[in-house]
Amino acid sequence: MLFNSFEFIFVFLPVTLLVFWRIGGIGHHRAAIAWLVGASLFFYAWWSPAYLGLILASMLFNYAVGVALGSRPHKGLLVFGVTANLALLGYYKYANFFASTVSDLGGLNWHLEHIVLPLAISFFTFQQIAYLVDAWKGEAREYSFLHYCLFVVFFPQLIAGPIVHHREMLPQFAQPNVYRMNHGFLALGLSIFTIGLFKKVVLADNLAPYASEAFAAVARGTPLTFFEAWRGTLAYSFQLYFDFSGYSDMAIGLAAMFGIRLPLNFASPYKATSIIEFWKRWHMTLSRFLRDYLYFPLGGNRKGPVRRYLNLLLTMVLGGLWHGAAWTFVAWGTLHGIFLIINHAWRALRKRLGWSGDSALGDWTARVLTFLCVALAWVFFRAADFDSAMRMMQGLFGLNGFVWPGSGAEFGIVGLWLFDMGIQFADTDYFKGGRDVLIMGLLLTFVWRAPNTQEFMADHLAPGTDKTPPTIRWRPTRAWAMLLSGAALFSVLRLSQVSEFLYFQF
Amino acid sequence: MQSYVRTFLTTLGGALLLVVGFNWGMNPYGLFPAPAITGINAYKPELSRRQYVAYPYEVTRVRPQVIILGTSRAMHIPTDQTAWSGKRSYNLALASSSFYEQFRLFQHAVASGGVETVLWGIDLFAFVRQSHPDFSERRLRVDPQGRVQGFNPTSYLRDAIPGLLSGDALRSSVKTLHRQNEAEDMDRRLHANKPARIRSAGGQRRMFLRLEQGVVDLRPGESQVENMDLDSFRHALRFAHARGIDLHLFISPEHARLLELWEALERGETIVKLKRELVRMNHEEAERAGRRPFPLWDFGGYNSITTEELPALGDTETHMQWYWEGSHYSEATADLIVARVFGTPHSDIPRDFGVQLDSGNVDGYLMSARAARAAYRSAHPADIAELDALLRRSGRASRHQSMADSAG
Repeated sequence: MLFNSFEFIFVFLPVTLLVFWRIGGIGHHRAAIAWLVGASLFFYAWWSPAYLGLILASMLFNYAVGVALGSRPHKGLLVFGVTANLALLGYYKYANFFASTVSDLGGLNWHLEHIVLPLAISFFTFQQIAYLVDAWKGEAREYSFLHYCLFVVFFPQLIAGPIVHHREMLPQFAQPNVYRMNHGFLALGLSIFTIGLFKKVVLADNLAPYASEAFAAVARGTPLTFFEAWRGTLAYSFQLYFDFSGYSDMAIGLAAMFGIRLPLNFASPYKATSIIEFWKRWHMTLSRFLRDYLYFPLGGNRKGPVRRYLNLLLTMVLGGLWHGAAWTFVAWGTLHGIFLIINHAWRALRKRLGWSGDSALGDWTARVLTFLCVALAWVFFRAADFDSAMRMMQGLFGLNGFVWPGSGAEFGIVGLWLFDMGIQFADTDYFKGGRDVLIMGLLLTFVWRAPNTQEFMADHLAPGTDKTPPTIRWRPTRAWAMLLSGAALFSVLRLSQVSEFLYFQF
Repeated sequence: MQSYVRTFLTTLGGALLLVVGFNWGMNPYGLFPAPAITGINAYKPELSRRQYVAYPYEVTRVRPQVIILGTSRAMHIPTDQTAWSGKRSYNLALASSSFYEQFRLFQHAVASGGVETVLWGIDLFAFVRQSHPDFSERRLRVDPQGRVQGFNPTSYLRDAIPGLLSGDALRSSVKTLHRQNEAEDMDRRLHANKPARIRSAGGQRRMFLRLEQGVVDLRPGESQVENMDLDSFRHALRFAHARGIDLHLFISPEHARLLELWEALERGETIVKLKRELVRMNHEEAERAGRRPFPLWDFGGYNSITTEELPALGDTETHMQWYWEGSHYSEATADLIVARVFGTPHSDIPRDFGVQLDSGNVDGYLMSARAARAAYRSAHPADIAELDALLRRSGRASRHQSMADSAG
């Protein structure tokens, strides 16, 4: 079920909440948890009932292994458990990719039937691997199976994260106030959910056509000119941003309605002034998982700079592959790995040379440069294949010329100078001139300057930590309620144009 | 916090109820059993934007005795004809539909009850057309084998919810309310705003050229009659015989310039072959059913309607009597077709407009069309030269040249 669907908003969510409070309110906490687990499984099965068995089996297996590891930490059992999880993920996610790669390399004619990727498998596999490792370390408490199920399938975070840690989730369900309707939680949850819904259906979905048509054009082999390629690439950068930001807000908002606080997953990543900072702001729970369960076990930064850089690169390549079984994702991960290495090397150099000065100009240069690197890397993330990505790059670097739509008359005398600079004036298919520049400029200003949801709601999410000017801070007033209900109405009226979240495919 | 939640939910709930109530009442796509009130919502200009969604439901409610089927060409046939006066009629023609989709709508309308007479405008390209993205089998009362299916509430909800609760529906409701003053000439609305449409398109010769350019750009595939979906045609005939439907078929009158273009694109032979096939199938199915073949009229070919002169380029004031552009005929032409097919008196019908094809006359008729074509070409050298230039610009010169030489 999609968060941005009628059935979710008008049927599933109200029924799930009301029944949960009703059962929990009379003290039947276990029954309320059971209800929430059942509802979450229904939420999952609505999409692909065929894989309900798979997720149940996976939970049963991991719970059993976790309990065994908790009572007797045995490394062999841990390796077995982790391998089994990776094998499951490998089969569903990478078997086709592996077969086609081996087939291409060896000139063989291998062919596998197309295997459908079960929804959320990348997310629930990672969460459970983390649980097994912690159980082996003796850091996982003994939870009941019902609680364990809730930790894996709690519907706000089941499909596309955040990748939650059992330590931050399960103790919250021990709080008695979770089981009663709390107007404070509900007000917060409704507001955050609405902001997320608006980002998704109004911003991301309206940007999607710009991105799709440009990437479809390069996939067809059409060369794009400079401005067309940049419009497509920026549109995708913003689409993905608002899609994932919207989803993360909705997940946090939904959990908040139950009085549960999900970890932050998205914190204005395009404001980052370095790639290192970008990864502390984008898909934060994935970065945390990769750091704790891949980068650190590989040795992290404890084995000298060369090993550190290799570990970084390997972590990012695997992180890329986690997003999808294709060489374009490997390329995306590799690019980010290289960016991170350069970033760390640059920091080390600065430290050695004793450069420490911070300036607004320096910050902005770094922010723009970081954004450009991230946007260029998204080309590989989005493109249908390598050839399409390279074709897009040609356009982005101006190899197919610079064409501004129309006659250039609007530029007056400057038009002649632009013409001398190599800008042609002719019809363009994927760039509409000043209007597009304005849209992209506004979006860029927004992602760089506007407060994010957690800053906007800082008084209630994390008191005392924000820097947002008080004028645009959310408060539980009548005016805010009416404004946000207007945003909710506007979003609901766009729900009939169904669109999935981009992160559902990972 | 409690008052915040209350304000949020009541504002949102109230606004949603208003939207739902307004959309239900205005009923812009005819999806709900809301009363039709003259001056408020009786005229539904937005319905044609949602034809594929709305028509299956509306035809079930209207239960017409006469239906018109076909593509956007047949959409121009007004339903207020004397030929069927006193009967409920409904124009069920769908823009850009394939013949299969038309056949399924035909089955659906018959299953909904009451259909006695059908006027079916046949466009030969509908036999090669892909399914329209808005078409869905789930809305129909019968499966492709003709078995009646019960009402499917889930399917209805999938259409009704966006019809009640979407920005699109809200915009359509507002437009419906706004445009009630256009309702007077409801059936002939295209005719009513003809001058404005022609002016904004830059005159009718420009409209012809734009369509012709589109036809050339499409580079119609080398589809052979053998690959076309003629099974749907056969099934339609069989279904009509089985249900005792009074079916009238006609091939749309394309303008002579378009026929010239088909010849230049080497589609002429296919069209002749296709017409022969339709006649043969009509004959075979009638024999099988032990009934007379359905009347099958051909309004295509070179006759005094299809060879109508075009205004000069840039002339936005002169209006053609019989055409919008080469493919879409006017309401006046539609009236002639209906009069000819149903044998109702009409003072303007030229003698050469419309021939009823049967297995006895089809060969002779198609032969005589060749002579008529030669006459058209020699009488309209400027039109031929214009098409020639169009083809040359589009890289079709060599083919056309050889055709021009052979015809010359």
